[in-house]
Amino acid sequence: MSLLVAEGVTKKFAGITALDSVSLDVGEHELVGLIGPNGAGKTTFFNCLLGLLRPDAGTVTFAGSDLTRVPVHRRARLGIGRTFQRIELFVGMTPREHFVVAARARAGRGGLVADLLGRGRVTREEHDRAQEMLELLGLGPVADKKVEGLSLGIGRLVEVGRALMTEPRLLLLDEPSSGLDRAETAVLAETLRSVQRERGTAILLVEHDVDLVRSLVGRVFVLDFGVLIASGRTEDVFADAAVRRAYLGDLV
Amino acid sequence: MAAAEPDSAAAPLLELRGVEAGYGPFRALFGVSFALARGRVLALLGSNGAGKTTVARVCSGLIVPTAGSVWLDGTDFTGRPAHEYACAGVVHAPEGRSVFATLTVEENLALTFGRSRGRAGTGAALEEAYAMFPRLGERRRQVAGTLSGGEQRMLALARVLVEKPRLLVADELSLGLAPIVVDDVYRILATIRDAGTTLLIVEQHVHHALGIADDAIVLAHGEIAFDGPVSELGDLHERVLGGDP
Amino acid sequence: MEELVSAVIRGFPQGCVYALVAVGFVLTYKTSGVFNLAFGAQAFVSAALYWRLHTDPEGWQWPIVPAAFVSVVIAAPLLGFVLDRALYRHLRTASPVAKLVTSLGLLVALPEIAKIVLDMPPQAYGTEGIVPDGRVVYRFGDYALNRDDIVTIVVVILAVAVLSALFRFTALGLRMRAVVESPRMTELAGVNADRVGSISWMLSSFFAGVAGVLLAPLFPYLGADQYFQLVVTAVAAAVLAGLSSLPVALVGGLALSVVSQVMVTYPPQDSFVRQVLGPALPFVVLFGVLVFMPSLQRRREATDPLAGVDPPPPALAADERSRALTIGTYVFGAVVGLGFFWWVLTVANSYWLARFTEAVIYAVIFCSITVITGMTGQVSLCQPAFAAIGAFTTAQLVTRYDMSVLAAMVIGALLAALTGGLLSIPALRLGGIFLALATLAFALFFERVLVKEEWVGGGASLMDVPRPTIGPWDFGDDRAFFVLCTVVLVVVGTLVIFVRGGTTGRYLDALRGSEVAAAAIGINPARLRITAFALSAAIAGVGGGLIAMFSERFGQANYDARFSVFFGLVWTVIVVSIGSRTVEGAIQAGAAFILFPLVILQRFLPWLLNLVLPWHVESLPTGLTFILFGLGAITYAKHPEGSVEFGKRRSLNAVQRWIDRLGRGSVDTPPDTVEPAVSLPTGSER
Repeated sequence: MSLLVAEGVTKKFAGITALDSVSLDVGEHELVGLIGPNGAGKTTFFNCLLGLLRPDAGTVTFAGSDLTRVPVHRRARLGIGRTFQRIELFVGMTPREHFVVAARARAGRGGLVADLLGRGRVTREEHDRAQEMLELLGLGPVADKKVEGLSLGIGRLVEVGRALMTEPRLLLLDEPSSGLDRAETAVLAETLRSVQRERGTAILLVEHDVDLVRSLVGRVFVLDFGVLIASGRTEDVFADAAVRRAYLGDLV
Repeated sequence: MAAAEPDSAAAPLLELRGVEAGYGPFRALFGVSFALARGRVLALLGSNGAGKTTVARVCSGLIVPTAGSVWLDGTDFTGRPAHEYACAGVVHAPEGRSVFATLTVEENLALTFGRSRGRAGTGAALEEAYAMFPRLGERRRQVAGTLSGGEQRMLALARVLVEKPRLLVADELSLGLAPIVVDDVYRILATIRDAGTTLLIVEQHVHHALGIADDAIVLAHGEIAFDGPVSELGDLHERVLGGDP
Repeated sequence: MEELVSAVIRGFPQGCVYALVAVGFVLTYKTSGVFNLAFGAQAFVSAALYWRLHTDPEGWQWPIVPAAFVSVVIAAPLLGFVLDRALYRHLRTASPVAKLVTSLGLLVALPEIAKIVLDMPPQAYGTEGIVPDGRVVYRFGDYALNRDDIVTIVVVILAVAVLSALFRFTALGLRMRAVVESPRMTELAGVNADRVGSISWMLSSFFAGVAGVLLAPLFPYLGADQYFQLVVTAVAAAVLAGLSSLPVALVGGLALSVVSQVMVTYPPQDSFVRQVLGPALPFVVLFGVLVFMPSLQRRREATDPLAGVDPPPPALAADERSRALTIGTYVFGAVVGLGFFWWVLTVANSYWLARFTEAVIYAVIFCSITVITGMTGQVSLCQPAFAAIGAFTTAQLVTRYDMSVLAAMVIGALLAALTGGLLSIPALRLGGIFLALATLAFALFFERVLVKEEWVGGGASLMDVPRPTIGPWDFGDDRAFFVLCTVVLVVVGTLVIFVRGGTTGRYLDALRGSEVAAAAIGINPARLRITAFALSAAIAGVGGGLIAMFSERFGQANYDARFSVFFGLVWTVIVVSIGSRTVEGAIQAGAAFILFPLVILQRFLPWLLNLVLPWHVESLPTGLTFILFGLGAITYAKHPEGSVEFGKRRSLNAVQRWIDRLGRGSVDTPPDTVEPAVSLPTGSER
């Protein structure tokens, strides 16, 4: 059974159809790509999956349960992690603190009463899990530096790590390579591959970087003007003439 | 103004001499020197965080170097405010959003034209821009923040096309655009070059930038690692950009 | 019907006054991006100068024209120019909240500076406007307008016309708006952004000056508080105009006054509308507009894409000290604290005992600002209202139901928490300055309407509030009560530290960093904010209860001296300027609020001055307190941790370096921090 199923998702803004009955599915442990030119509705679709926008029609189900009316933060608790196109870190905090707070959010326990009783401090287990993640991503050397002083590439890894700390079953990545150079993109790709391999996390990748998509995913969906124009195995889709015209132009 | 200087014809349009610069306590450039001759196209390449954007900002006066000097047409411009650079014919299209999101398309254009053409010339300049980009004409009353990424880039370029500046500093113009739109952007850049504007292109899309550039500079860790004609860059660029230690 | 028409017409002149201020407000926001609560303070400066030059019977008695020229055409734009040069130019990339705090600091400091410079009497009577014989009345049928009214009407309509034309048709207007969005990008278009910024501030300050001298005759005496009251009333019209449309601000101001006038005239004498809704209309409208106008909720300030060119200075690190120094500072703090504690208990006379008790109680209240401003990064201007809820509840429960005073205090705190929580629910979706405005609206509603209700304020007479007794201990004695307050402070402070280090504090840190990212890892921002608001309100409520006990007799009559809306601003300013992130900062703020004027201004500084200066100084004006803390708060954008906290960190770091040098014999810290060349972790490492 598929982990995430979007069916007939439609979204209109002031009469303009941004998404026209888009359907997409991601299987358990699968790496899937979603590509499309600017203004194709990728971000709109992404926001519909995350609950930031409510679709006018269509459903989104995750692990068999309907997500349509579930608020953003509850979706995270259900096991959907995400990263941001324009990096969104907790300014003023270190990577370690990012991971600790995400671990706490995952556990979902604690609250004001526990805090008032002095029981809100970082636990041994949270500390260890954060340390583990820092090592997995090779962030040890910068673990205790404030994120605003770190490079974009590192910041993206912190985002991925923060999402992984919530132990998601599905990771949604919104243009993770945007603003990264070749070396940083390579590190990211390697990290994603190992995450998928070792943790079995399913990944939906929304991306511009054709090379990255090709090297990473087994299946790809292509959006153009809010319509799904192609989907299937990566090699097949990139061979498709309509896709080449709409998206790749004369590049490839 | 610079045209009155005796040696201005011989001097390069833009020259950086030993520039060091940074943000607050963080230093991004260490002794960067290069010259850009009139009519040439220079591609500024390098990995993330190498200091490309900082160089671009120094060239348009947004950042004042902590050491070294910036020369335009043989005149020392070091330490002058950015608007004087603009008045001297430098147009900088900064990285990311480079239009005023709260102003309309027309107001965005009028802000520049009002300064360069005066009240009387603004109308004509606007018509010129709309003739080149009919899409902008259709949306002249629309707030620029609601344009798509590609349209915003068109708006920024329309300003440049009409202005015909002496130097265009284009910082990551293709960032976040679909390949097909990037092609359009580069076609426009070629038009701008043919109109006589000198170009300084900061780019991560190496292939596109090298396709149009005469010369290239490769930055690494705030220092110049290569400076010369594109033809001499050879396969060096693979090594410098891809496998930076 | 005739009554209705009459009410409408009577509301018109007052409406023009609101409109004038609202237009000035919108003008400042449009041209500078600052929600300038200090608009009234700027108006006061011009009015005070005019009063000195022209009106003051013992003053210079200049004729109207030169006096108006100097105070409005010269002084007001000059003030705007100085504000831009010294302050706002450096704040362009700061957050809207930081700008708001800056304007709060100015609001508190500017009038006091003007009073000292101009040597103003505490209350300057005999206010006169710039209109010759302004009180001459003209009759139009049954209706009368005086000259002042007519000039105000003409000025406001003219101003809207001229300013609208400026924004619509001139290059300057376009440039002003461009600078607000991104000064750096405006420079790239070849425009001198600094000059445009200066002109913007000179223009809006000039407008404030005009409003100041024009409106002076409305007030019984000339005081900054009068202008402040007017400004907060007019804010509703400005917000109604979405802070951008001048004509809507004009119409909004008129409508506000006219509807309010109709409401207090037309309905029956005892009706709710006439008694409550009419007088409170501006605040109800402000709150309603903030909460229900979708365009404000969805509004996100356009961010400057080139903000990164001028990054804010990095905060001084506080966590790189040696263990010995950390313990040393703790020991020092404990010794000083215990020293004072011992001194107050054994040596101090009843006067100083009372002052120190007050200081401790205010420290408790200020812990609530630590929670709301320090931890959530939001500005609440209704903390005095929460404290007042605690105080009134305590007094009411004790008087009416003969309840134990401590139990009453706890219930008061819970009631304050409930109010805070409920208040935050509609205000949640509002960001930054709009949230601050919503709290201001509530504070004003509380002050103008609720306090006057007998079930809240207890009516005209004061209520007796006993000091508590717990089992064998009786805290009736002043010294015992001081101990009790100290215990409460220790408990509250410890709880705040627990919360800051616990789940709530960490989530709030995350939320401050990025709300969308916080939601993406499963944090519920709404619940978190409600929690923080309720906790903060509860702490303020506890402090309010202690104030009621301290006063022993409490009621409506004490309200103004303890909890008026103005204190909401002053408290925020003091805590922010000392340090809103730490409990230590709240304690120092409590001490500073009460003791600074008494100890430093009236005793220590005069003593010091008399040592070096030949002439005798009795004491320094208490206004200096406001000036100093006001000026402290305007550095908020630069030192969000508080300027006193910044100074402490800097000196501690200096001590640390000194220790290092002693230990190692040499310093090897590099003079320049080189951009952290983070080596990229490569995937193959594993």
